[in-house]
Order: sequence, then C-alpha cells, then structure tokens
Amino acid sequence: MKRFALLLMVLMLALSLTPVSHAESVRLVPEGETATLTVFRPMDANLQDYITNYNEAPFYQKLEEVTGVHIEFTNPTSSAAQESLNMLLLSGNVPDIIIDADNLYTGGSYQGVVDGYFIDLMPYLKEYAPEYWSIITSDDAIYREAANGDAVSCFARIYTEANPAWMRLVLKKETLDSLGVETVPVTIADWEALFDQMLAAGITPYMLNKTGYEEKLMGAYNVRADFYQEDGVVKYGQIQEGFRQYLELIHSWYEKGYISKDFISQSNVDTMFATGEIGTYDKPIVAAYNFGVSEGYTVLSTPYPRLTPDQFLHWDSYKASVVGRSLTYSTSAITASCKDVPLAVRWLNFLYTPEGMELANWGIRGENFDTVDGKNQYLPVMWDYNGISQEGLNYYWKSHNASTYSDNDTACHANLLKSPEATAIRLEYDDDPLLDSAIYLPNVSLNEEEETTRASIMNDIDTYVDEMVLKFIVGTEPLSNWDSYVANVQSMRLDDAIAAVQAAYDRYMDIKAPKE
Amino acid sequence: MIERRNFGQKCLTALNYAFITAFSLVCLYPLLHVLFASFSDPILLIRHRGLMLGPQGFSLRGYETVFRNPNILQGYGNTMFYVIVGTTINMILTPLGAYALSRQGWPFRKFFVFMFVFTMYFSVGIVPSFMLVKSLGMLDSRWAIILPTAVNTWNLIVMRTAFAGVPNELQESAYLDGASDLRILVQIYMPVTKATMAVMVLFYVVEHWNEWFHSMIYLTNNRYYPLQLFVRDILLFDGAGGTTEDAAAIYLKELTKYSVIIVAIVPILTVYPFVQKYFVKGVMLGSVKG
Amino acid sequence: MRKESAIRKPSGGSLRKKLYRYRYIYLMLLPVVLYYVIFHYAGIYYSVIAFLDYKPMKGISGSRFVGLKYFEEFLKSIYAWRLIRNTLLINLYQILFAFTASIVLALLIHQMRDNKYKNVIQTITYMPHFISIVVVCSLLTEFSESDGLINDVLAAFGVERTNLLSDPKYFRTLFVGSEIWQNVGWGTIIYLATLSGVDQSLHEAAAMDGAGRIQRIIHVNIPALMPVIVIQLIMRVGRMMLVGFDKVILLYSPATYETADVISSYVYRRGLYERNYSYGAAVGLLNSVVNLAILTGANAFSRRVNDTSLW
Repeated sequence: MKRFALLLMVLMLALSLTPVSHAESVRLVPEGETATLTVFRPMDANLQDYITNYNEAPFYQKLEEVTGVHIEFTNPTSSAAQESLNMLLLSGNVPDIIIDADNLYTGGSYQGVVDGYFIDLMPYLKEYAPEYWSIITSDDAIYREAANGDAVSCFARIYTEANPAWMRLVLKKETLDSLGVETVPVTIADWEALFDQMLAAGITPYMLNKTGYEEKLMGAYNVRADFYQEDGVVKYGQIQEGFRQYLELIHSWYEKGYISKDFISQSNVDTMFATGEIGTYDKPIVAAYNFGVSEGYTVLSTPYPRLTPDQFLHWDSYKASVVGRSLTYSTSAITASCKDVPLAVRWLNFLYTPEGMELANWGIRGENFDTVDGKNQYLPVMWDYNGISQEGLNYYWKSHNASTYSDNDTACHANLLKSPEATAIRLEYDDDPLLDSAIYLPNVSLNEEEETTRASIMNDIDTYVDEMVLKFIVGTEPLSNWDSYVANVQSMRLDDAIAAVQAAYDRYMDIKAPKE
Repeated sequence: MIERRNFGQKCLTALNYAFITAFSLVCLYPLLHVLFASFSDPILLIRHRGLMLGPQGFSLRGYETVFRNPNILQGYGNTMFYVIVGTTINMILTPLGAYALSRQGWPFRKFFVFMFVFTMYFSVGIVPSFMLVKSLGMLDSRWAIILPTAVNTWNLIVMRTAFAGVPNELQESAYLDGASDLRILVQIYMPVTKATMAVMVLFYVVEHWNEWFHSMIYLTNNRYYPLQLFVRDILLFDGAGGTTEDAAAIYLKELTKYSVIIVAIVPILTVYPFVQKYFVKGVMLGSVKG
Repeated sequence: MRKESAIRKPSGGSLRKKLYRYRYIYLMLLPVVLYYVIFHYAGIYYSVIAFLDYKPMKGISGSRFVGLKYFEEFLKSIYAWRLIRNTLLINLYQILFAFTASIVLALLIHQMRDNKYKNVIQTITYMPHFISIVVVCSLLTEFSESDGLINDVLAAFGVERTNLLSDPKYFRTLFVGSEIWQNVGWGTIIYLATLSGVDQSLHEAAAMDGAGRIQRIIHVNIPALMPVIVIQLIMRVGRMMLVGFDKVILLYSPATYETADVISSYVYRRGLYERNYSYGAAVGLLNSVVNLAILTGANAFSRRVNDTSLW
C-alpha cells in the first residue's frame, strides 16, 4: 500500500514538474468570472495576533488567484469555535464548507451527515473530485478510514506514508546531568526512580495532561481509552482491569507528588518545563526541541514507557493509519446549505491536485520554497517573517494539516526541516521493534441507527467517566469503589453502544475500495 | 468610667480603621499585581513567584504586542461602538419608561410594572433567545449586541424611584405652564436627578464594556467582535501540547495576558472617579415597590 | 389582572377619559413596552422547542412533538439532584456571606469620620466591580495554583499546598469569595446612601441615653437599614435558582463538577456544546419556572410578615 501511494505521489510530482501552463488549467471558473464560497475556519491561536481574516494569508490569496474562487471566511476565535459552529447550525445560516469538521462537530462529521447538516459527498466525488477519489480508492485501508461505509462525510488529510509519532514524554538533558542520570528511562520503574531524584532536587516531576488520560502510560497496561479492540472484539477501555491498574499507578504518582497538583487547571506548562519547574510532560517532540534550542538547553525524547524492557506494546496510534482525521483542520465537510456543491467539491479537491498539493504543503514557489537538485527546500521566510510566530507561519504561507495529500512530516514540515537534529529527534525511537497497533480501533463506520445509539449512550457515559477518572486520580473517590463505578457505567447501557461499534467493526474489515 | 469608655471607643475606632484598610488592600492588590506584571520583563515575570510589589525588570513589550494586534484594535473600535450607541439607546428608553412608571394614577400601571419586573426572574434561556434574535434577522449584526439589552429592568426601577422622589410641585407648575410630559422629563426630571442619571450611564457603560457572551453566540464574524472576546481568547490561550516552538513568543504571550487585562480595564476605571461623587446621591434605592 | 379591575372600579366609566388624559404617558411607555414584548415575551414562543425533538433543519413545525420527555429525562438523570443542590447551595452561601458582607462593610465604613480617607476606601473597594468576569476568573485561576498567592497565605498557616480549583471542596469558597471581592464594595452603596439619610437627632438622642457606638449601630443604624435589607433580600432570594454560568464555566473542570456544576452550566454544556437544543431549553425552562415559584413564595412570606413586597 505504501509503495503504491508513493508511486502515485511520484507520478503526480512528475506531472507537476512538467512545464504545462497550468495557470488556466486549474481555474475552477471560466477566465474573467469569479465565484464565491463561504468557509468556516477558526482563526488559529498562533495567527490571531497578526491577521483578522484568512484572506490576509498569502496561501489563501494565491488559492483565490489560481482557482478564481473567492472565499468569504467566517473566522471565530479558536477558543469559541465549537460554540460558534453549534450556533451557526442552529441558525441555519451555515457556510458552505466547514473546516476541521471532525473535531468541531461533536460526534464527528459523519454524525453531521446523519443529522442532516453535512452532505454525503459520495455522489459527487467521482465526477468533481477525481484526484481525491483516486487517492482514497487506491487502497482498501485508506478507503475504510476516509469513507464511512457507503458515505463520505468529508475530505480528509491523507499521507503518503504514516507519520512518526509526534508526541512523547520529553526531558531536559541538563536536568538529567544535574541528577547524575545518564540514560533516559525505559520502564515505569525507571521513571519512578527518576521522579524520586527530581523530587529530592525540588523539581515537580511530571505534568500529566489535564484530562488525566495518558495513552502512553495506559499502553503499558495494554489498554486504550474509549473503544479499542482485542483480536477483533471491541472493548471499552475505561472499565478494563488494565485501566484500573493505570489509575492505580497515576493515583499513587499523584499521592507521592510525582504529578503536579496543578495538572487539572494547568497553564504555562511550556515555560514551567523551560525553567525547570517540571521535569517531564507529553509534548510535540520537535516543538520542545526547537524551543530548547532557542533557550539554550537540550531536549531529549523518550521511548514509550513499559513495565519491563522487553514488553511488546500494542497500543500505538500514530502509525496505524495514513488518514489523519483527528489533526486540527485536517477534515473539511460541505454543508446542506451549500448552493453549489460541485464547485465546493472541486475547490476542496484542488488541494489534491499536483498544483494544490504543492501550494498547501510548500507554499508559493519562488517565495516560500525553491527546488534545488530536484528537491524542494523552504526559503528562510518560512521560519522567520515579520515577527509572526513559527507555528503561525505554517498557516500563513502554507496550510499546515489541511485536508490535502501530503508526504509525511519528515518531508515537508517546516518545524522539522529547521535543522537535521530536529528531524533526527522526531525519528528517534521510531524504529521501536517491540511495538505495533494491534489493539488500535480504526475509524469504523457506524450506520445511522448504530451512530444514533452510540451517540445517545456515550454522551452520558463520557461525562460520567471523565469526571470519575479525575476523582480516582486525585483520590476524592477511592479506587476501592472501582466495582461500583464499573457497574454504573454498565448500567448506562454500555453494552448496547459496544454492540453498535462491534457490528460496524465486523463490517469494516470487509469494506473494499470500489474498483473501476 | 468615662475614661475607660473613651479608651474602648478609641480601640474600636482603631480596629475599624485597621480592618477596613486591610480589606481595601486585599481589594487593590490583584489589580496592582496585574499592573506590575504588565510592565515586567517577560522572562523575569515567568520566574517570579509570590507577592509582587513592583514590576519585575521593566519592558513595554507586552503593550507593544497588544497594540500591534489588529484584532485588539478592531475589538476596541467595536466595543466603543457598542458602548456609545448602546448607552445612548439605553438612556433614551430607560428614562421614558421610568418617567411613566413614576407617575401615579394612570390605568394599567401595575400591570406594566409586573410585566417588566417579571422578566428579571424569568428568562427563556440561551437557545430560545438565540432563535428569537435569529428570527428578527439580527444574527451576525451589531444590533444583536445592542438591542436585546436596550433596557435593564433593575436600572429602570432605580430610575423610577429617583423620579418618584422629585417634588410634585415642580411637575404641577410645569403642567400649568403647558409643558408636555416629554418636556417635563427632559427639562425637569432628568436635570433634577442628574446624580442618578450619571450613575445610570456608568452602569450601562460598564455593562456594554464587559459584555462577551452575547457576542460569542450572536456573532460568528470576528469583524464585529468586542474587545472582551479577544481578551478572553488571549487569557484562555494555553500553550500546553501546542506546537509553538518559539520560546520568546511563548514568554511574550504570558506577559501579553497581563498587558491586555490592563488595556481592557483602564478605560473603564478612568471613567468612574468622575461619576463616583454621584454614587451615594444617585443610588437612593429606598424602595423598589411598584 | 385583578389589579387592573381594582383600579377600574372606583374610576368607573371614566376609564376612557383617563386613558385619554394620560395618552402621552402611554406614548412614552410604548417603545419600552415594545422592547419587553419583542425581546422578552416573544422569546417565550421559542420555548416550545422544549416540548419538541427540535431539529434546526426541519424547523419548529417540522420537528416531532415529544411532550414532557426532556423534562422527565432531566429529573430522572443521575445529575438532577446534584445540579439542583449545587445551584441552591451556591446561592445560599452568597446570601449568607456576600450579601451580609456588604451590610457589615457599609456599617463599618459609615463609622469612619475622616471623609477623605473614607473616599479613598470607597474608591478602592468599588474598583473590582468594573472588571469583567473573564479577567476575574483568569486572576483567580492564577492565584489558586499550588504555588499561587492564596496558597502562599494558606501555607503560612500550615495548610498543605494544593491546586484549589481542582479540589471540589474549595470550589464554593472560591466562587463566593471572589464574588465578595468583586462586589462587596459596590454593594455598600445602597446601604451607605440609606445610612447617610438617617436623622442625626436619633444618634444624638441615643448618645444622650448613654448608648455606645456598638449599641447605636444595633439600635439606630440597623433598624434604619431594615426596609432596604428586606427588599434586597427578597430580590436576592428571587434569584435562588439562577447562577451566572459564565463564571462557572470559566472556573470548573470535570474534577469539580461534584460541587461546581450548576443548572445553567449544565444547560450550556448539553444545549450548546453537545447540540441537544431541546433538552437544554427544557431544563432552562424548568429552572425559570421553579425560580419564579420561589420568588412568589418569598414575596408572599414577606408581605405577611413584614408588609413589604415586590409588587
């Protein structure tokens, strides 16, 4: 599958390099005419100090220039994006296209199709989005993730090759040196020993994320949060014995002071790590590394924690799929209010054409990147321009994480290409031989009835469980109440929800991409 | 006997002063804390813990960032619009209603009082209100922020009480001179109760200045967002798990949080000393009886 | 409605005359009445979605009628009792502490003789009132961190440092405490205004009778404040089921739902965040109706006991 995708990529790149005058060929409307689409896209938090509307970003200006389609943006602030979308849906004045639909629409974009807000793109793709259609039908595995059974609810970001893990527990080399520690921890016992040393040195060892769920630590107990599967049997993570052991570990860490007392309402974590107040946290590796470079310290990446050094882990989620549906901005749905669906489909498809891919992944040729020896290279403006923060520039010149077809991060992510070391640290431990995604549950497609059942049950269960997990961790609810907690979850009709997901999963494996 | 009593009284007085002084320091400190922090050096600020009794280092970079932010400037403009236009509408409608209610003897008066007061305790909730604003065609327009708050019932009642205290003779002699009710309101009632009017203006200005929730749900277009919504965004920004890797940018973001607070409260704090002298005179809420 | 007929009777056939005589009053009232009708009463129509399975795409007429389904669902849910309890408790604590704090502070400030100093104190204590909730919550969050200011103070008394906002047992204290910080000074205005109107001769007479400062407060100042306090109290009790959710949602987290989640924040979460529009409307409506019942009760009680009433 990888090979096939790569081949396709190469073909496309070759196409893009052929000197055809594509200025006219990619216009979506006849020369001299313009069309307008409305797009909902939350203003990225890194960019909102600099622009008020995405039309000010060169990426979108160029996009308008080459496609001839003008975009009217609705740019709510990122902290109110979900409320904004829900109010828009309630009002009926919904923009044509919703960017980041899978994350912003509670339940995911497919639920939006079921609810009637978004449209099923399946009838349009073959005719109006041939590039996207050929990518998602190129491989059964891609098709299963990108389409929801017989429906396609959104354009999703597709990678030519799965991304190496981008978040790990990070450490400061200087901290380890001052403690006389020479190697990064491998097992949970190693971590505890390190935490003891940190505590003795006055460092708060670990900032757990605010939800209390850390998949890397759960993974050591062979369990994942929410739904996962074991040998084809769908399970719900938060009632498993493995999850109880995870909570026991985290609770004991909290009691011993390993975990910051502030983890639930944490803020300024990056600076706390930089100043050495906390020892470790789960963080995008390269961001932490480059942060360290600018502050004059060295960041170390770590392998996934294990119970024993030779434990085989099965939880990995990063390499499980080349379809990136959960990344911010990576899914784009078309709403039922859209008057010109073919145009909206063609506009979204443009980023899967060679020209569009180049623009989304690299920016504007000659301004943001150049091709040297047949290889694209960013120009310095990609890292430093007009005081805009690094992450902001990724949404300014190009469209980072957009729904497009892309090489993985090692090929075209500006943060990694800043230095060879930045790329190297991202790839460190990536070749972990004792790791697979055996218990990962892919993005299965529930049918309308199953989806309605799942959503109505899981809304309540999620609320209850999220609250209980935090209570177990901080100890306001003793773990001796575990059994009654499990009984409560089960009494909320958990089994019906599991059955719905199981049915979908059973169908999932048989889904084959349509062949022409 | 008398001596002892005097001594006791003095102790009480001293105790009273000490307590009130301590309490007002508690009221004041958080504001000073923000003020000092906003002028601090970003890196020293990050490292600082505990009481802050002066800026940590000195830098204006927080303010530079705030004033360079196009959203903040736009938000300032919008907020000014909401404050000026909104308060003007408030101060037209509220006196009209208050005057009518302050007059006695006209039929159905109690019915209207009840109609107004009822709304203070019964609200239909967010979703129905939203649907109402939508059906009025005001979504995503400035009117959605101004019109739904055109009269504040509490202020209406305060003003009515103030009007009721205006001596009857003034009004009667004006009637004899052939003045209309509107003229009596504008030329007699409002000037006589100018302390209350000043306080009312302040109440409404503060209300518009601090408003953010209606803006969040009624506006999806950030072109109309008020300052507070951007302030909220900056204050809630959390770099954790974020991919921003520019250390200076993150430190600056922390500093900016304080600067933006100052930028958001200073205008309103500078208005209020001018109105403060009217407070005690202006808020004679002896009774809110209808 | 009975009240109108009470007016109508003595005036008898002169109603039309009266309406005419006060025509300008009605004209002036018209825009205000329009405002209330449009922005408050018309909204009640949209409360019907509480009885429908409302789907925006289908509109009100196209959505299925479900009767009291959502009301039942709420009352049967495991959260109903907790939400009602938290709503009532936060309000009760606000009345017990924030409401009385203003009265006490007013009495204390009133005792100050030095007018200049008094002015300064008033200026300072009113100031926090002008700060928006967003800013107040942001400061409170910072000060509540385990190495924050509040913990510094507590640590001086030997209390173990913890993040106060992640612990359910501190939520109400912080909520009401910050409320006091923000509004206690502002709340004194009305009492100080009343106290400044107290006849000076009453104080002199009491002093002649040998009453000390404290006795004069008890026997002169507090009785003078009583009518204002009662009216204020009824109005406050009338909001017994209402808590501004904006402050709650800025401060709470799943870890503190136990004490922090109130009806309005729950409506916000279920209605707006999870798009259960009808469910949110139903719970909101129920909340308003119960609140109105409490207010009517308080008012009737006060009318009988105190002869003071809101309407």
